[in-house]
Amino acid sequence: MSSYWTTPVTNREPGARMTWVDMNRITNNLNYLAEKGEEHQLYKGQKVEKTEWTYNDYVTRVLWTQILHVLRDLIRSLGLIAPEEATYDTTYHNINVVEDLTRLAYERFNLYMGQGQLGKYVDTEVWTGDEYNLGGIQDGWTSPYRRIRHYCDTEVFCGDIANTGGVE
Amino acid sequence: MATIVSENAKQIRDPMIVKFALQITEDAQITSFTPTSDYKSWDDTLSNVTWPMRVLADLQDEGFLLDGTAEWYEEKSPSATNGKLGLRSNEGETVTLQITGNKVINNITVKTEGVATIKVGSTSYTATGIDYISVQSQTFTMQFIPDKEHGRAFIDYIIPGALFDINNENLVRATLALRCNLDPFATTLEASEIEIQMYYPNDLGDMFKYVNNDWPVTYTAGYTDQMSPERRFYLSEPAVWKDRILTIKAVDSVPKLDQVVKQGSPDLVTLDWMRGFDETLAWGWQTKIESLIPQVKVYTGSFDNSIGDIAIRKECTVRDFLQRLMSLTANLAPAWRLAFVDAGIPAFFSGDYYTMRWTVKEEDLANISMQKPQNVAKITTGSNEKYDETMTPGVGWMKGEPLQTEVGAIFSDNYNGGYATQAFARVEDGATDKKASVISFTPTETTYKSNHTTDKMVCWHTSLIPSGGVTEYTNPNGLGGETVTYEPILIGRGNLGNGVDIFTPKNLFATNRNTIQFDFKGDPRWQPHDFLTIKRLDGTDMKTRIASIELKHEGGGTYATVVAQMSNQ
Repeated sequence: MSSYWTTPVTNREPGARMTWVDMNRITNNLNYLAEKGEEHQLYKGQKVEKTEWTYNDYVTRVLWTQILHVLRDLIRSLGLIAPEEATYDTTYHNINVVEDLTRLAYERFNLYMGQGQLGKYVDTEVWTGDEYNLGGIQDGWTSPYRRIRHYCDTEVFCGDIANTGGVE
Repeated sequence: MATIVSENAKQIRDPMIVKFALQITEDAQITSFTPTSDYKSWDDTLSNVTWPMRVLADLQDEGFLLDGTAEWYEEKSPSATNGKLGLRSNEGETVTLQITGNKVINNITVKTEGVATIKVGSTSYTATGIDYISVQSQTFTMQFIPDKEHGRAFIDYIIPGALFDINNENLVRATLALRCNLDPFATTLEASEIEIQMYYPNDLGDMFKYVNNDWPVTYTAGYTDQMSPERRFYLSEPAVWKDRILTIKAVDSVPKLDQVVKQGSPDLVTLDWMRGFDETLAWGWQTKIESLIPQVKVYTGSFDNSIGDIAIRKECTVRDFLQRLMSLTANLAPAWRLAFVDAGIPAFFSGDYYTMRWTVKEEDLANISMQKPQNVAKITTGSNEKYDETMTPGVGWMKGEPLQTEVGAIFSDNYNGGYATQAFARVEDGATDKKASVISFTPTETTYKSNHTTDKMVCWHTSLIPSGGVTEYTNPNGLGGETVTYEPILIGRGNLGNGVDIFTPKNLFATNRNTIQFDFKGDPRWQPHDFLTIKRLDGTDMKTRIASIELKHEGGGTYATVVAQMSNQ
């Protein structure tokens, strides 16, 4: 994995500008989630081609399209419904939306990862390390949630619509 | 939505957008631009002044503003709609351009952004955004050095000559004195003038050593959703640069009408700068006014004695002639008016078709004063030229046939005791039975010269003492007052259809010469000759016609002093 995560900036106000630092953060965050998602079979899709930006760069429409598509696919893969769609607007508000959606995707991803490690209470006998006990916390790694959720290419109901490709 | 009307309605309005441009042209053309260093973008559009520079999602320097104006970059053909790239350097790097002209280029105008220094050859100039540089060369190299460590140099256009772009950023002061003469006794057209002072830090050297009075100075003002039509003036004297202030003085096209037209000369005047002069006179002459000025044609109907449609014009300037025509027809329908199509080139129309009408409230005016000129009790004509309001066509012929002359021949004759025809009668070749309508005079002395190539046209220049004659006209209002001497330019009689003889100055009495002067916030759309209705506090309407406007733009503010004459509209 080559991409890295940086805390998104979501509180831009009128007068804000987009710099190469912002583009580095936005594109690396998206690719970080894409790579992590692929690793844990939560995502299977494209990544952003360019993640190293400098003063001398233009942000092309082709590149911004990639950003929007990766973001959209990540949101769907993680079973999220975007409260607001990101667009082609070059406004401070739209860039806030892009980074806010990225943050939501990151939190949802971490939630899934966390559930895979947390224990779950069951009423049946649980081995507690030295004896069987009636009722206790079962190891999360054996949680049915962990076993069930995986990425698949077929249609998956994601809460409001059936989407092709998603986490089951 | 900001308009002149909406802003003028406010107690405190936003500063008006003011734009002037002075163009100093050169014969030389730039034939090629060739970048000779690395660059970020180039689309060979540096000759184009009007296409806007594209605002891209560009990460140079502090990045791009997130206000919705930037576009994600994609390739597009440059156009007025798409905009253009011009030449853009890599971040932090100098970009070099070679320029070649079709001949030696004296001066160039360069528009840039993000540039600290422009070098032409070995000479450096501090870039100000729009710069005027003396190059004196047919091929030369320019270097543009960015003004920020990680910024780009943007080159918008490079053109030969100078295009001074004056706006709210660099305007110090501008005064427009817009005038016309509504006084019925006026004898010449008033010219309008402007004076502009702009801030410019670089010495302009000999740029104004030679002044061409065809160099236009354009003007428009207003607000984003309503700008005045562009008005055009012409440089009247060399602009003066001193202490970082450039002072520009210009006039409208009226002085171009100082061209003298001799009485009876058949030589045509070049009138391509007099747009709109193709209105047909509505007086039964069926003669185009553009031909009226150099040469008067006899009514081209059947050359009937009884019609008597003849006008004899004394030697005068076109400028004087037009003013006289307006004055004499002021109270007739259709009157002849000047309409300043772009404040630079007057067009002459019959009727008020192109005259604007405005309304203003008295409560919005300041420093109101009324002027009431002394009553004109009498009009007298010159001692030599007298004319008879009851002139009838004479029955005299030019000895029964057109006078035969030779081209270039000059001869004189004394018609003592007899009548001679006074007419610009163009007799067709081979036509021997045409009889010119004439007005008979008893000349004291006559000289004439034939200029026509077919030896047929006869033109006369003479002192005239018409038979009979009234030399003084008394105002029918019976009031006392001054006596005005009015030298006529036209002598003759026209069939107007309404029976009014326009060639006597009696109708000059009919105009109300009272005027009103006031200060106002200023509306750049107003022009002299426009009708203005003043809504008075007592509920009545005062109908006026604008005679002059002094409009000032200074310190971000705009205000005007207006003089208007009473009008029956």
